[in-house]
Amino acid sequence: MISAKNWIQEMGLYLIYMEELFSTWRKHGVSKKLLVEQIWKVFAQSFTTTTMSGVFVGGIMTVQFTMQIQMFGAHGYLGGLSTSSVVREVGPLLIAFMLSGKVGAYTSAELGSMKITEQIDAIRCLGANPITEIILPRFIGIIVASFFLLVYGVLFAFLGGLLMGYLFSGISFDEYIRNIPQLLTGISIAGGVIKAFSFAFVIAVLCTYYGYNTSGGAKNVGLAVVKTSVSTMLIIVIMDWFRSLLLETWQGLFL
Amino acid sequence: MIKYTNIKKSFSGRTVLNDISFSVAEGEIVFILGTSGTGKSVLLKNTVGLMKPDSGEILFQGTDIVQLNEEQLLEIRKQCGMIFQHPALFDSLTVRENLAFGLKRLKKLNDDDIEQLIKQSLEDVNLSLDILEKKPSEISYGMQKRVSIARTLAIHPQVLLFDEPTTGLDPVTTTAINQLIYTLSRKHKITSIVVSHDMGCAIDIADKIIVLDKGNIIEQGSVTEVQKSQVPLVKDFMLEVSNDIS
Ligand SMILES: Nc1ncnc2c1ncn2[C@@H]1O[C@H](COP(=O)(O)OP(=O)(O)OP(=O)(O)O)[C@@H](O)[C@H]1O
Ligand SMILES: [Mg+2]
Repeated sequence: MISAKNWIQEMGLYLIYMEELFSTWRKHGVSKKLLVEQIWKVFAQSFTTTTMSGVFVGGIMTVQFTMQIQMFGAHGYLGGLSTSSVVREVGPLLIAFMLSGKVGAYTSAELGSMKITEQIDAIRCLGANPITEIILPRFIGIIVASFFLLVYGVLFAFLGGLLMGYLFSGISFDEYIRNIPQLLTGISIAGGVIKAFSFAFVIAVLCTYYGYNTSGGAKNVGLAVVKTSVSTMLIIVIMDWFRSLLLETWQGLFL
Repeated sequence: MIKYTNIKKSFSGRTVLNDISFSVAEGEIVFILGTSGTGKSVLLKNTVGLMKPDSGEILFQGTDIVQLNEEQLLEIRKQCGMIFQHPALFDSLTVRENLAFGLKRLKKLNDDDIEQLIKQSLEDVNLSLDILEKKPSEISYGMQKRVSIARTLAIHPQVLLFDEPTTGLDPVTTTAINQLIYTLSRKHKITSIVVSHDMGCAIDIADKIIVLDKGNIIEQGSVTEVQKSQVPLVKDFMLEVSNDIS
């Protein structure tokens, strides 16, 4: 569908766009009120879905690990394994999919329709800068909210795991919790946060970029949404692959 | 007041404006007519620097606005207000907040003055004050268009660019808007460039009519001159008017 040359071109355009965002941010700052509004909006949009999927993913992880752990009689490690893998791997990916599906699609459609109904032009004519007033609050909002969502989602995954551990594997709450500190290291927490942060960054760049660059009619708004989700998924998967590759090499060198 | 010289604009190789030159005098009402997609909106957007022409010059009181950057353009946008083809109201803001938006940013007025101007401008477009707290989605399309006109009027620019101000409006409101443009011009010396499909309105209030087709000016002049035109498309536009009357 997209040739390699187009991809490189597209990447160049993302970079130019980011440079414009950051230089405008440095020069004009961004309104705290708008920012808080956007963070809240992103959080509110993803709140229920995050709760639900958090609980279920936590539960699934526990069930999966139970089946493996039973063979070794290492029941005590169930809580630790399940929680740390949620924090490190599943949590950030889950938040990324949620953000991309809900917030990313919503934002690019919102900006796209503002663009084609001349609202962005009107903003400029009325003496405001659309990047500071519209783009930056959404851009930063998505990134900041993703951090809160991660914490929140992990919390519910923990509860889901705890409950499932009790019901399915017959492990008491005490036993489930006891070994978590041992397995959930600072490094895995940092890894999870960095991962969630970089996914959110990709989503924030792409959805605002495609929305803001919509032109023409209503059909192109739909197209902007499609482009946002396709390229978000693609870049996130590539990034994750690249990260594991780096990690492998790194571990090979030092361990 | 405004002078366009050899304006050219194309989008990815497709020419939209091809060598457009004309000028607009202070207090004049100029109508720009043309079929869909001939670049009328593009021409207006170039006038306030929302787009830049590929080549050519647009002198606004002697300043070439093509050369100005976004910050310098703010001064131009204070004096030259654009009313868009879409209502272009901000969905998340109330009518009041929409009307105050430009006043806060372009004019930096205090709240009392803003309130005064908001009320005045709503009256100018025949809207009642009880829509002030509503969101754009809660009022009709015709009302949205009028709020959009009021939003620009409130800033009191010397030049108004109207992009199809009456398309989609009922005949009564259409007449009221045309009357408003006329009064602004004659009483307050406001210059207006009006993009329209409506030759009837143009004949009623225009000082000058420009007809665009495929990016070129195919006819321009006073109402009487254009009425006598032999250019086929212009004659079609005229026919439309005589049909309406009969
Ligand atoms: N930002 C843009 N990018 C690419 N093409 C554009 C852009 N803006 C306008 N065009 C193209 O320029 C041409 C003229 O558009 P414009 O909106 O000026 O037409 P118009 O004369 O106002 O028509 P209408 O009466 O339908 O409003 C159209 O073919 C449109 O597709
Ligand atoms: Mg148009």
